[in-house]
Amino acid sequence: MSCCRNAIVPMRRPLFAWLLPRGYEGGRRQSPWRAARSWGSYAIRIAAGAVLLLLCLWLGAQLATVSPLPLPAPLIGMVLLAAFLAMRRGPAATAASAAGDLLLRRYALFFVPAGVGVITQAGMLRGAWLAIAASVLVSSLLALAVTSLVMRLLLASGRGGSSDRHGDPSS
Amino acid sequence: MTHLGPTFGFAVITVLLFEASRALAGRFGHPVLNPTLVTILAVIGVLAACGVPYSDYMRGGGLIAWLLGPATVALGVPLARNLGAIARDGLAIIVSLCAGALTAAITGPCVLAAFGGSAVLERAMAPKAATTPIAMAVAHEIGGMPSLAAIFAIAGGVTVAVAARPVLNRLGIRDRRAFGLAAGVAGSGIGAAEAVAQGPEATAYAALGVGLTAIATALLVPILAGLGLV
Repeated sequence: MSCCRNAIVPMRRPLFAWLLPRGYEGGRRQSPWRAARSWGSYAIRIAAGAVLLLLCLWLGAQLATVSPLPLPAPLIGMVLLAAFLAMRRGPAATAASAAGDLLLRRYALFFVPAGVGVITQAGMLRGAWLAIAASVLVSSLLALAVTSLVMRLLLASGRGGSSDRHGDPSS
Repeated sequence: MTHLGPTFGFAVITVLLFEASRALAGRFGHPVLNPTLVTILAVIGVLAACGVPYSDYMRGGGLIAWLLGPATVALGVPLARNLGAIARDGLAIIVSLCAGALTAAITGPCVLAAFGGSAVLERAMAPKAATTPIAMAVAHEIGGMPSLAAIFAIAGGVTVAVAARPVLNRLGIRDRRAFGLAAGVAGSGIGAAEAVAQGPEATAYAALGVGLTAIATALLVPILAGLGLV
């Protein structure tokens, strides 16, 4: 959403602008050769980063089978990736960050197919839809309120305000 | 060759509908126009109109759903980028995150039981604060149905994404760190997507909330289930 708000000429912005490298400005000032080269290096970086992400996922799956704690594979992969990025600052870390950023920019999209799966569970849900709706609403809103209130309390009692609270332009 | 049409067709339709609903949300800015919610309803509408069963849709949808695994690994990127902030606010983050994750894990099954829901539903409801693949794995662990847990996790995420701005404004939460963390803890990935609009600080804390809630849920919910609380 922030990308669309910041765009100066939104009509000229391509639909899949999020696939472009950060800071890509439409290539008007670039020669075609330079543009192609920067595209090529970006694509290679993304591909290398994707391989690294998949390697973390695979390592996570291997560790999950031997782990005594019931931790799912993507979660172990996430911790492995964070540890790798915290320890290293090479081109491999840059590539993994670029690929990760690209995936996270459309994180909400990847939930859609599982959400559409609600149609397969219609029979299961029909009898208890009121209980389920009440449960989801109450527990989600309570968790939202409890987390934010406890966080505010603890930040205020500690060194609250050490972080720059930039104003919120969108609300 | 006959398989390639539906496989890529359904994936492309899903991506296009998602881009369209993002544009819609950006145009009107109302929290109910959550892109995930709108896209899910639109895809269900398309499937119903064309008489396509879910198993056929998943030949293409499965490609998109598969990306959830690498994308969950990718949450390690903002996690690593904000290690300094995590160390600084560490105690506040851990305490409020555990409070929120426990609230979600305990109140969900309790309200369900109060309304007469079955134990199968309760065990799928308990891990719903975690991001979908984790919620499915934990539900499987404690004897719930993973497919139900996925639906509950997504429903919870959409609820949080829609309610975050009105509720947190009403509560007077001005701090972007508290906004981001709460959206990530209560709403996992879909909640975190809502925090993206609140700036980079909220995004970082939301990613942190998603990642750590997934860990907390994976560790705490099996213990709660063992104690008979869930």
